[in-house]
Amino acid sequence: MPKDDLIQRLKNPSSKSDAFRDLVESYQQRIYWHIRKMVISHDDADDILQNVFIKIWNNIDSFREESGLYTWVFRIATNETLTFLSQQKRRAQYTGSMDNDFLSEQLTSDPYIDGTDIQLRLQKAILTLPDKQRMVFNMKYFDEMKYNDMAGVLGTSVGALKASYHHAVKKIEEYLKKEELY
Amino acid sequence: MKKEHYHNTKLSEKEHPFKTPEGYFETFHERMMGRLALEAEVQHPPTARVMVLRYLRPALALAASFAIIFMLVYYPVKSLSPSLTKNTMNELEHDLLNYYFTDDVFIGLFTEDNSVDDYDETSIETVLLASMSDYDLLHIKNE
Repeated sequence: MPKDDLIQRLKNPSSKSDAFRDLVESYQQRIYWHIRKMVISHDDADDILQNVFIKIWNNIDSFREESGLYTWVFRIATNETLTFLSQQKRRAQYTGSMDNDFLSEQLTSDPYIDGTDIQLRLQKAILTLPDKQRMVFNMKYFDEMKYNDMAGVLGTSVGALKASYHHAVKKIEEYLKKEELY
Repeated sequence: MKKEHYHNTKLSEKEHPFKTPEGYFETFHERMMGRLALEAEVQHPPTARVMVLRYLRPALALAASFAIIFMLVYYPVKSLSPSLTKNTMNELEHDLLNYYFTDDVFIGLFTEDNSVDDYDETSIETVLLASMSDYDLLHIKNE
């Protein structure tokens, strides 16, 4: 289905509900995994995913189509996720724990995580990165997104994204090497 | 949430350890629409009239149930034996009125002597012994 047609149907009150179903079915998995890799917990990812679609439902009329629907939806998901993480970190600071401690705990306690030892070690290494760099790494490494698409979603230049990804890979390699020594 | 209900629907070929509950994506749209309906209710709360009706609804339903039960029980009984119910009540009322308004009973209500002297001492003692414990009796005796 052409995306322009979907946007027009979403903006038309008589077809909004049906179009929204199509939108949810088209995007739910991509957005879910985008969020989930950042917040680790399934329940948190589910809450954020619902918030994202509520924002889309409420704000579709103000979508000016300056970017593609895909980019707009991903940008909402990215902002919701980063806002959630900064709120969690603020809470964690009150309890005296380190920035990403709560995420490391989720990695061991969430019932919907069941990976190999290598997968879990990689996730631990990824958690050592700052949130935005972590997002760049996930989008490039797991989702294999093009730098141009990432630039549209994250509002950053392609050059900055390449540099960020390069540094992220180096940091992860160093972390894994250090872990092997102990 | 049970760990055994895993359903992995990754888009990427590179593996990550995250899973979702079984049927999560299949039911997501329905849950989403439910949440949207809730949000709409919060944004547009029901009017005062709707709220009053909402609170009165259980009471009205209860009253209607009683009315239906009454109709279902009273009318069949009445239609099956109308003369019986009517006559029985009338006869009872009539007998009762006759009893109270005969001269002897009516006058007797005002002249009846209810003084304690009519009771004999033996019966009072029996009642007291039955209603008091040994401790109470001993206590009274000592006094």
